[in-house]
Amino acid sequence: MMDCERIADQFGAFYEGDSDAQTEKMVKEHLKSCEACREDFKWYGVTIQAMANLEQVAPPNDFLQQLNARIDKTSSPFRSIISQIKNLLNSLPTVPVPVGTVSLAFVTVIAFFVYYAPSEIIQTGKSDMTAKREASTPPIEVASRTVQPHMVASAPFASQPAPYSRALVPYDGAGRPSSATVSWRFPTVADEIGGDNLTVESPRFDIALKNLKDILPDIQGQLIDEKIRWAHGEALVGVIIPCSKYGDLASALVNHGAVEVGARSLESESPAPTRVDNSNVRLYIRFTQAPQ
Amino acid sequence: MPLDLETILNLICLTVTSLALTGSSSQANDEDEKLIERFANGDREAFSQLVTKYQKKVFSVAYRFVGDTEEANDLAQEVFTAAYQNLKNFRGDSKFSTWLFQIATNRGKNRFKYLKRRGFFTNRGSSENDDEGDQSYRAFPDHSTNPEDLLSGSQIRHAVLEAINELDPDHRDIVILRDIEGFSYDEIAQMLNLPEGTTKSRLHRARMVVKEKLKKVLL
Repeated sequence: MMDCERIADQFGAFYEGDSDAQTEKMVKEHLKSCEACREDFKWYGVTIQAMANLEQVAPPNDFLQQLNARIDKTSSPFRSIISQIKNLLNSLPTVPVPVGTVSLAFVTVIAFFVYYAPSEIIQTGKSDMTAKREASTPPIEVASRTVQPHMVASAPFASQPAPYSRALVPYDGAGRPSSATVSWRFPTVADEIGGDNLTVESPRFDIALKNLKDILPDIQGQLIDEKIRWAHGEALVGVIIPCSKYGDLASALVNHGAVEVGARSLESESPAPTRVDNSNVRLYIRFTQAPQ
Repeated sequence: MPLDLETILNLICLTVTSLALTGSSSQANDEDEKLIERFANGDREAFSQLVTKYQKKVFSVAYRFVGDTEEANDLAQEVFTAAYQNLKNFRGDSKFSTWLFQIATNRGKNRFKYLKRRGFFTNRGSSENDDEGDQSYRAFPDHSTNPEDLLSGSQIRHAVLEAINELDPDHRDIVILRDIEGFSYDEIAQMLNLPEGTTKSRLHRARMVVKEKLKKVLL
């Protein structure tokens, strides 16, 4: 019985003539003397022949034409991406397709969310290097944020600089950033301040800017940065003022009459300047051209 | 040990056959390389020539995996489309034909699993056999002790196909490539990324399983 098992293990090599001489002789002698193995070996040969004799099949005559049409169809970039994803899913046979499809949908939703989410949410993923960069440069904000006089007196202070914005910002088509998206454009200097600062809209923003400079000495403030783009009708000004003067500055900007503050304010949010030390805050004010 | 005349003749035949096969295989490989080079230079007609050359064999391999001409056609086209898209990355580490049939085998295995999960084979298995009216093959009354006689009947074909379909995938692809499509052990080992010894031992086990199923059905 043991011999029969060992002989059966040699059927493949023996059938194909790959056995060495000694094994071949041993198998032959065993087959001569063992009827069961002889019968078994016949069936082994029949099995191989039956598989080799299976019917021949041929592709359709227009196989090449069909293939060329398919290749042309899948050559467009969009279809190519779809095809790559499909191939990826097909190459994971152990994962049921519904799971693969659900995973893909999940990833798509996450990607969509990350791309379009408010920057305040995204900032949790910032690197140290980004944080350092932000600390040394004016922060960037996407949405237009304006201040109402009643809000500024109780303004909280941010301990961290504001986050950087996405590459594109909503734009209402009239020269102003807009929370109601009409189209998208690259951020301008007016967008480059954080949520902790002030936005001033004025029909004559140059006069508003001059007024600000006039106010600064009165409140022991100091101008630290100034970027003006006349062509775009916008300016960004950085100041350091005493914490206690924050409300005074905002009120003075309003009282000077040349400015209009809070035209499109976000009621639920308060400005929060970046604290420089215990007594001073750094504040960026953007001046934008109000519609005439 | 003295060699008899029959052994000497067999050896000569074997040598001549292997030399002829090696020569033609090498020539075919050179042709493929030229066509691939032309394709890399933007000649799409060269790819069409490769398709024409291999379509029958690729279609046949595809058919063995899915057992249906329509599915096989779709699968074979998928294989060639994948080859078209990736041919620029083909580095020539193996023969083009080995690379192509490696794609065919992988896609065939995946398509088989995909179709099996969706009950494709259970839904259509019996209806395919009906057209020849030989459902009775399960009770094939063969009282002869000579199994070779069975080879002429279509019953054995159905029994073989069923037995192959029931093999586990790792054994099934080797049987398809070796015993049905006639690839060499070396080619199969490359296509499946397996050592040649493993290929042989898996093939032997698969044959034994098919053999036992055939005996059960046909005796």
